[in-house]
Amino acid sequence: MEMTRRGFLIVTGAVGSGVALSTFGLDLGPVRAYAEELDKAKRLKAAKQVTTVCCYCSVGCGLICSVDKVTGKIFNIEGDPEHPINEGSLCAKGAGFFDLTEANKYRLRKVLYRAPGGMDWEEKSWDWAIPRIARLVKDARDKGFVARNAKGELVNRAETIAHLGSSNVDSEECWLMVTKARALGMVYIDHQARV
Amino acid sequence: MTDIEGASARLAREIGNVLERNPQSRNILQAFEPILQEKARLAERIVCKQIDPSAIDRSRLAGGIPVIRQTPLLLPEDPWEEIVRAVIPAIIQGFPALRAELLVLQKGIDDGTIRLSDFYRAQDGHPVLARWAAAIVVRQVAIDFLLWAAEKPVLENRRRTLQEVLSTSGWDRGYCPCCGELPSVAVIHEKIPQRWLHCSRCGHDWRFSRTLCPCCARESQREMPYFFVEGREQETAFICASCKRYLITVNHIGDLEEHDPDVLAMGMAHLDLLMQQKGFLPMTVSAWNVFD
Repeated sequence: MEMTRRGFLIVTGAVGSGVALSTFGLDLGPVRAYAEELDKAKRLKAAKQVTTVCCYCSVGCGLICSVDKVTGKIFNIEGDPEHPINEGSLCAKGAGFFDLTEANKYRLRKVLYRAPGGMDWEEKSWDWAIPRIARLVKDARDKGFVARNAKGELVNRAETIAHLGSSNVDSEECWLMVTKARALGMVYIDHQARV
Repeated sequence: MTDIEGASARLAREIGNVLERNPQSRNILQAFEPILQEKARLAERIVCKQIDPSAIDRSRLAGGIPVIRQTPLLLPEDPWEEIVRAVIPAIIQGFPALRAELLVLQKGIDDGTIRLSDFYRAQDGHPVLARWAAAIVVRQVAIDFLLWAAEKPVLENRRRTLQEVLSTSGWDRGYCPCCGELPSVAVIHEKIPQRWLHCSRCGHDWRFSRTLCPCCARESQREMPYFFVEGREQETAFICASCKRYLITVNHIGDLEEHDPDVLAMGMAHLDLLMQQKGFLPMTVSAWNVFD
């Protein structure tokens, strides 16, 4: 059934409904002026909520992301109260999820390099950084690589290099990192999986 | 300080807080404050015939049949004359333009021309209202408004006695389990961001899914649109693309913050205006969200 606003106002059941405030002599000028001001200044923004699942650990907590409809950017992330796993609550990492987005003004956007003994950070390109990291990791690994232990048993381990994970990596990234670390023979591997 | 004085002081404080944030709603809040104050006093004071909670069929309630469909919540024997005598001065204080009509109404009630119990005895009260309006030459909307204000304390009084039944019913519908009305405002809490719907008719609050439209029950996991005021992200209006209704929503309200949802909704009347200008309808019509 097609229903106009006026029609809707008339057919609702309860008493006192559908009576315009101005009918009772109320001055609505200030409210109208404010609404008009918001409209003119385009301060009324359209957004949408999208449900998703936290990527941090295997618990799988539900999240609701608020997204600006015009820019497509997320501006808020919170626990999903209807999600059966977390019922709206989040751990400290999940509660700080929003800081993972590009809205975080402290997020690094370029490679910063501080030379050994240096005091200042220099901006570098990825083309410079990635081969250098790979070279240094390989050199450190090769330098401390132990193929056999004192008993002559095959161990293939790198004892002079360790890997520390981050609280800001998700489950899939963790898998990639640990696979890489094991492939290099690392045995000192740690990770802050859950706070 | 008595409970009533405490509630009155709290309401005045909440109105003051909302006015600080939303001074443009001063006229609306100041008009409704005496009515809300009187409602709070009456809801505590009046003696209504109580509904036996055991008379409510919990299985029917669980099936989505609100209390008002199982047993009447507004009875002819309720103390309507006492309530109206208290409510009329409050309305006159908030809406001085209604003074003359309300005094005529008061006279009609005093001399027996108007018997309020007739309205609640009738199957359909609208012809009764029309008859009264013609008999004492008062606009029907004025009588309608008076009855709205008079019903609130009775419904709130009865709802309180049924609170245990209502809060343990596992109600998951978009309309009020007590009086069947659709919500006028929603509040989303800060720590655990649950959405609580508020019924302005009987004052009941109930939890409801954030991914469902309370009006048409459409579920949308991927896109639940809403509008908000830039710089004032607490002030939002959730909209349903399917039924074209909106629901004023106060987002991320502090769990410890005192709040009266009706007062918060009045403070956001500008959003009602903007949503209606965009062609959306309110989920329910409250006394403060109709402008023209």
